[in-house]
Amino acid sequence: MYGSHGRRRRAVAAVAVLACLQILALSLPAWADTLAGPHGPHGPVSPPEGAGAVIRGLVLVTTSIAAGVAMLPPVAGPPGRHGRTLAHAAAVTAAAGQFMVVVAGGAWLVTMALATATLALPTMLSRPRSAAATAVLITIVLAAYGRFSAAQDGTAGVSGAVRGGAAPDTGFQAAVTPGATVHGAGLGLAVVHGLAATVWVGAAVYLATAAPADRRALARRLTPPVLVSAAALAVSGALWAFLDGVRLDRGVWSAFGALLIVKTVAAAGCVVALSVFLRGAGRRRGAARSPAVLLAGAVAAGTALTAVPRPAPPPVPGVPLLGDVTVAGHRLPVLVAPARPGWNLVHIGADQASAGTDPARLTPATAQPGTRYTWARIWLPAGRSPLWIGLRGAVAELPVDTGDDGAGGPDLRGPDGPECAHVALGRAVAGVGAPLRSCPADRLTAADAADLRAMVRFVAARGVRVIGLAGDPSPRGTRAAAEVRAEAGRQRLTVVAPGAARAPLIVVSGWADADRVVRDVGTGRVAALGTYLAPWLLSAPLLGPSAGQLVPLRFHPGDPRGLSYAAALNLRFPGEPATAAGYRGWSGEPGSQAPPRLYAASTLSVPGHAQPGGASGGHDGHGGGRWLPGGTITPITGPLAPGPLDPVSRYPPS
Amino acid sequence: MVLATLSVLATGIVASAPLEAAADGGVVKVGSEVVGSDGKTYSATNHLTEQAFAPTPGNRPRKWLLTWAGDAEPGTGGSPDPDFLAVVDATPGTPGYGRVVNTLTLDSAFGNEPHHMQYMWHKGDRVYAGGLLSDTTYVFDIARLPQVRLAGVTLPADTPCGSAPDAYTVLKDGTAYATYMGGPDVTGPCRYTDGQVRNGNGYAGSPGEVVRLDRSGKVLAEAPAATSASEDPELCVNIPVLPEATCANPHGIAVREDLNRLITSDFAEVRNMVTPPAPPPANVGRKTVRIFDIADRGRPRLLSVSRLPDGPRQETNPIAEEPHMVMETAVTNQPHHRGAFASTMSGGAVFYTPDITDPNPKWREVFDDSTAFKALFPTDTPQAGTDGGSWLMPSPDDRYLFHVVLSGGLSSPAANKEAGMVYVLDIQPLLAAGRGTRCSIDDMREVFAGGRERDCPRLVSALPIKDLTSGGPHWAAMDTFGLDRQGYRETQQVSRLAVSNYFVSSTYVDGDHRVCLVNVGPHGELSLDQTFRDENQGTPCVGFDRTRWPHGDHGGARPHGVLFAVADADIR
Repeated sequence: MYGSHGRRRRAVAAVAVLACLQILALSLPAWADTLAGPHGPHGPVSPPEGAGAVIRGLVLVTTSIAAGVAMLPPVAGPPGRHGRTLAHAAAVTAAAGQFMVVVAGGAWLVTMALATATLALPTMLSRPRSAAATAVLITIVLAAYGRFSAAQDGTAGVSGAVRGGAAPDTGFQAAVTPGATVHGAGLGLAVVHGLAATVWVGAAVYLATAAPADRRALARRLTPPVLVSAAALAVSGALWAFLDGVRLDRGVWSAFGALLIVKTVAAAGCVVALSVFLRGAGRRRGAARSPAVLLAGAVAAGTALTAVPRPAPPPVPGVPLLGDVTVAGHRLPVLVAPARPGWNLVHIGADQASAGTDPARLTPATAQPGTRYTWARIWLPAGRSPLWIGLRGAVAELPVDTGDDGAGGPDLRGPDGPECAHVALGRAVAGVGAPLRSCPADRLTAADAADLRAMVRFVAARGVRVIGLAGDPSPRGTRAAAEVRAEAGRQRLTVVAPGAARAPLIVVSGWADADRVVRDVGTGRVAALGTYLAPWLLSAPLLGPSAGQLVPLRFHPGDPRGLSYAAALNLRFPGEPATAAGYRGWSGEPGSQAPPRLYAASTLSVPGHAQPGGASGGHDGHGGGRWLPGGTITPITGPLAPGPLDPVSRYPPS
Repeated sequence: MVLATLSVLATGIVASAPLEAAADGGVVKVGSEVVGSDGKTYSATNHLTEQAFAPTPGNRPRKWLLTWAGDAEPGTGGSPDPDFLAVVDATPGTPGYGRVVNTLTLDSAFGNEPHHMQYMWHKGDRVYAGGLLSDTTYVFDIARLPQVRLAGVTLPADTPCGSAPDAYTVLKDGTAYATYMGGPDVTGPCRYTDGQVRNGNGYAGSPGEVVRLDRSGKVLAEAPAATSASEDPELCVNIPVLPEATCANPHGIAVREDLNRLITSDFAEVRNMVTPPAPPPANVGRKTVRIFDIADRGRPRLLSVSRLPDGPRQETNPIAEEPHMVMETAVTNQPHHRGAFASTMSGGAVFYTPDITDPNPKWREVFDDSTAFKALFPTDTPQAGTDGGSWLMPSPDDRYLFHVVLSGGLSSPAANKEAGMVYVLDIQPLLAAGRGTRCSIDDMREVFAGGRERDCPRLVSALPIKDLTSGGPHWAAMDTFGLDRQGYRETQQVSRLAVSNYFVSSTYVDGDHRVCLVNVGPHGELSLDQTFRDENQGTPCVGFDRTRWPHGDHGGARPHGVLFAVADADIR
């Protein structure tokens, strides 16, 4: 009956199935993610949220069944008795699940409207076009609203109600930021993927519940929409998976990967089973149920995918990497900079962590003055390699890619390395993938020089005749000290070493030396009439010690833009202090034209009451997303007047 | 219909337009602005709900509870939400009782940490409201309540010799004295408006000052709270150390214009923690009270610095001893009384001096919070040490003294650790004793049972206010407005208290962000006003941890200062 023509068709079908397998392998994480699960929080890893996942899966699957059955009558005619029964049951179950979402705190208006419309679907089957249109709208709303909710702060919508406040994370979810606005492409993919998957589910229900005698004719009528939706499912899923950072060569041996394989195999089996059925085997009793069972398995696996963290996106060669690892039950942020061949700084969001290229010989990460958490200096080879992060005896791998062009980056091993890394961190938080080519301590910007001169004039105007100066040997520190000395000379001020006189102390060093200076002033080891910090020393660890800190700034850390940076940083690297270097990296601004004002910084506390995380705070998340947790940075002057070296009425950009 | 509904939803889910429309629905916005000394414009916007204009039964004029609240959580993407003055309908028996009918948002400055307003409002007064962290005072014109107008702003640069504004008291001429608890903006010498100079260790350090403001927030005077000579350096720890040690960190403030006296209480050098690993020394919490001569209102002159005595409790944590951290001070009101009270936040005790015109006032402990705790909790009695003793006020007729306590002290039994409370003392015998008072808490029996002497204050009533957070009830206000056919008038009696459950979250002492009303019976008995209910939850007390406000869906807020007030047209 088939002959050579039949063999060729079988070969084409086999190739098609294999192609489907490849495409599906990329595409399948996506649909279930429409109701995104917990991917975001750092810190201790929570077990998959049982009730939330169940509700999520329930709403997803039953709504798909009800909507899928309602979509197909214009093409396939009305469903059979069993199909109608199943659609009724699915609609009731979906409505119940959506009601539970409302009870759990979801946005009642959208969710109850969805529940009402879903309940109405089976009763509309006698009006095929209305039923199909309603089903399409339900699917669009569910898919789009799910994506929209995933971009919010976890308090709204179907997703928000069941995922317990998980925040948007990497990959595709990052594409919906900043500002938690939904990227148009992401919405489009979600809608297309949802519609295609719903058609598949509907077709499977139709075939599984049809009378055996009707199946072949039904299958022929369903073939066009199923094929179109298969293509749409594959393309949208592949794009979605690509945006999520999923690649064939990585992530397979994780829980996420295992579920992905299950889902792929189930869906591929569904394709095969459908193919077989369409070629005639469907005459056998029960054969049509196989695709439905396999498809249900695929949907179940996809839903489960939302409860496990997805693999990190692949590193960009030669670009500082901000990634996450799950180790010893904790999800930790990790920064690798400059991510070039040679020595790199690895910054880990935990105390007592370690890092290295050999999991058996890790280098302890240590605290660095003026910073939070721990740092390790690690030599990385050219190209891709594994970086191992250790915590409490456990290790986890973070792939890094230093690039193959052999070019090196700035040397971050010195005391100014963390500040330089913060520029990279700011860029990474902003989603800017730029190589790190220089460091703030390499030179003194014109803006910073002007701010230092203005600060010296402010001090001189207060009537003092002596100032202290604390610098360091970096190019910036050297140049800054020269600027301060020159302006002091013009103001007829005597410059002395720190502590040589009880005088205003101007600090132009990097973070490490500044940390020592402010602590010494706070404890009285160094006498000073206030500590005047250079603009690049705006960082909570340097503002916490009680040293009368003042700092000239051209932006208000409490203004919306400054707070947005601090919040974004806290989301990606919880507890990490917001810094001037990080802000510059995040904002991408070369320098503000605004005149500087002098800001006073101070913590506030109640003696005798515990301060979680210490005065500098942040470890416990209390005050996270602020520049000085537990304190304030307040402008105490108007604009500082420009000096003769500054352009009239404006300050130079850095 | 289903299709139409879904079409609307499909359109709305991306832009969240329905939420914005809901926020604007029926809300009338009225703005006002002032220009600060820095040349910038500072604006505020009323968001008046329909309830603000709703008629009352019998056209009864309305009484309002002003609540000065800070945003508790950032908005989308970390953007700041505004701080605001909430206007709550406080007219019993009206349909809108307990509803937030207006929020005046501060649109130009965020993260103020709204703190205190003046203790009492009198007809014609403006409202002075401080931003603890922004070092800013806002002045509000409330003549047309429930609408409010921003009438002035006092910026950090306007008060170079002080920071961290805390409390306010308004004089008969409408000007106000304010305590600025923290030191000068810049470390070093600072010259006050009277020409005196004091050395300070900087922002939120020491010494603080007294500031006089006019009705538009303009600074009329900055007066030093510190003596020119050094105080006891062991008692007055300053970090970094000052050439002249000072305990001058004034928090509470009260005035007797008839006696030409102003009194302030020293709290702590608030910027003291830090410099780990060294723990903060106990003596960063202050034990002193300052009395000023204000015969010349524009030049408050420091007359005395008096120290509160230690009490009988022997605490393992020195900071928990009775005289530590004098948060509040309050003066008697009747012309024939000259005494004043002080209460300690960490010490958990109440002190009294009979005559504030005495050049060397002597203080005595007259009540320990332990007595009230014992009355409420005979077993598992909370500890008074570090209990967060807070707001303190005598009734205008000088019969009663009201005191709010934040929670059980740090060493309290777990069962009752969250036992915040408000209690009332009968102080008539104490005041009647005049300068011959004998009351003194001298031993542990008196700590838990009250003073033996006949003139000691007697506990009239105590009401527990449980707060399961790190904080609890902290601030309060008295309602003395009586209603007759001509409208409201001020009386000598207190009919209600408003109590707010919040301290300062950045100090890790927070609160559950509720504002409760407490009825005060004719004999001083206290009871929670069960009819003052949250409009969303339906439970007693108005919660500020809510999603929706008249100004939009900005989430939770932290209520600190509270104040009863009436529109000018409704009070004589």
